[in-house]
Amino acid sequence: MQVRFWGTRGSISASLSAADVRGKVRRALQQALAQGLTSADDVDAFIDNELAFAVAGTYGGNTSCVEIDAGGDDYILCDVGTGVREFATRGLRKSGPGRDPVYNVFVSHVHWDHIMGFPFFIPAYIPGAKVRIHGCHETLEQAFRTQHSDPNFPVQFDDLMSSIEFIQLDPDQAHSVCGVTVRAMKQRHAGDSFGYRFEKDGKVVVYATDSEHDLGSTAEIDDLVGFFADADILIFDAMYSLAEAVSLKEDWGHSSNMVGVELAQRAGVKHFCLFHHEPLNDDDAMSEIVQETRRFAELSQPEDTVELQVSAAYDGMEVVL
Amino acid sequence: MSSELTVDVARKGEVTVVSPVGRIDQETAADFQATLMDGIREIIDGDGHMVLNFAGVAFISSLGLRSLMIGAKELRAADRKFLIADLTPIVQEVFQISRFDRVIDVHDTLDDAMVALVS
Ligand SMILES: [Zn+2]
Ligand SMILES: [Zn+2]
Repeated sequence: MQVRFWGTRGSISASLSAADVRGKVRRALQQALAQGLTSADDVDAFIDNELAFAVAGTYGGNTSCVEIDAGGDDYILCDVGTGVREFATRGLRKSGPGRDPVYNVFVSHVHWDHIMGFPFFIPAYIPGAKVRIHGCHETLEQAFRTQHSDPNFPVQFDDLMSSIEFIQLDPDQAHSVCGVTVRAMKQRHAGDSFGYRFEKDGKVVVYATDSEHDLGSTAEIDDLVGFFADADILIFDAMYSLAEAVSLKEDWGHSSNMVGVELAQRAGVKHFCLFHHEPLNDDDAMSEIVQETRRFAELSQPEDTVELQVSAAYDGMEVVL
Repeated sequence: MSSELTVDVARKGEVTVVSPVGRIDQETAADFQATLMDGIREIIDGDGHMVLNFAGVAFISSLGLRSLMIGAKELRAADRKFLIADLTPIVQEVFQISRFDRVIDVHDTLDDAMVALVS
């Protein structure tokens, strides 16, 4: 399986400003001047190997949208935040003449940042395109319809030309979609959210965003460890620092990098991926958090276990499992 | 990793000094929190403040840090002070990574913390 991140920012999209870009260009040039680069190849190598990601790239600003590519002719998407517009622009590799893919969407919950990209999801407007929206909330269809109604948006839901189906999932049961086994788990978040565990051919992807964890509840922690067990990648809501998550922003429905690392290590996860980034964090802050999270994983690693791989998702990141 | 933690509690004037030794993690945090809260209740019912001497703490997990936050909130609500002193280098790193260094009053040494309470 392959995972492609189209939107990774939490709560609201956050784009780079002109001043942010200028700051990156300035730092890159300063470093480049010292190196005396001459050929185009040297420049590429310099960008790829010498510059920090926070200088050469960006974590991006689109809200939640993650593609799980399990092969086959159909698509699987987790959430349709603003990142789904990018997916519809650059990611439709299975679409085109003579092809008839199903767009399977799994919705963690219907908070705005997780569905706001749908009105800009081009396939929804294409006659005959098949869109199946899966979720565990009774309000699933209502939320999508309300977003596509006056005075919120000029195109009414019933005027969308594709065939859109809403599929209510029972979180206590396993479901099969495109040859992938999907399980859902209820998470602690205002109005509830659901994590999804995707399994195929012995590979496991867990998408667990918009979830707070009650560290004092052994039962809750055990359930999470079971749901994350042996995941090849755990995509985890690490929006806040631990201090924020247990003080000022307690009950705000999000978790932290440290709690994520501890859960991942207990569950035997291979790759821990920070997700739903705080919009206040710029690229430098994000890079610092990644470094710190790696260090914490080192410090808290249980004896006789393999090292946990740690990354922060960025818009455009691809992970092959 | 099997964890061991002992917690010594002593009264120095009007200050309760709690000195944990070992790891405060998944296995030991519940007992640590219980001891902490006993001390805090005595302070609130009587008088004084609390200083945690962390010189002997080798590691603290998120659950342990959460206990500190619960303790700090209780004492602050009662207008008492909750200070931590003498972090080992690794615990200092964990405080920084968790941003607890921004929300808990941390002092370099136990003496510094005692001085901060009277000044
Ligand atoms: Zn969200
Ligand atoms: Zn939410």
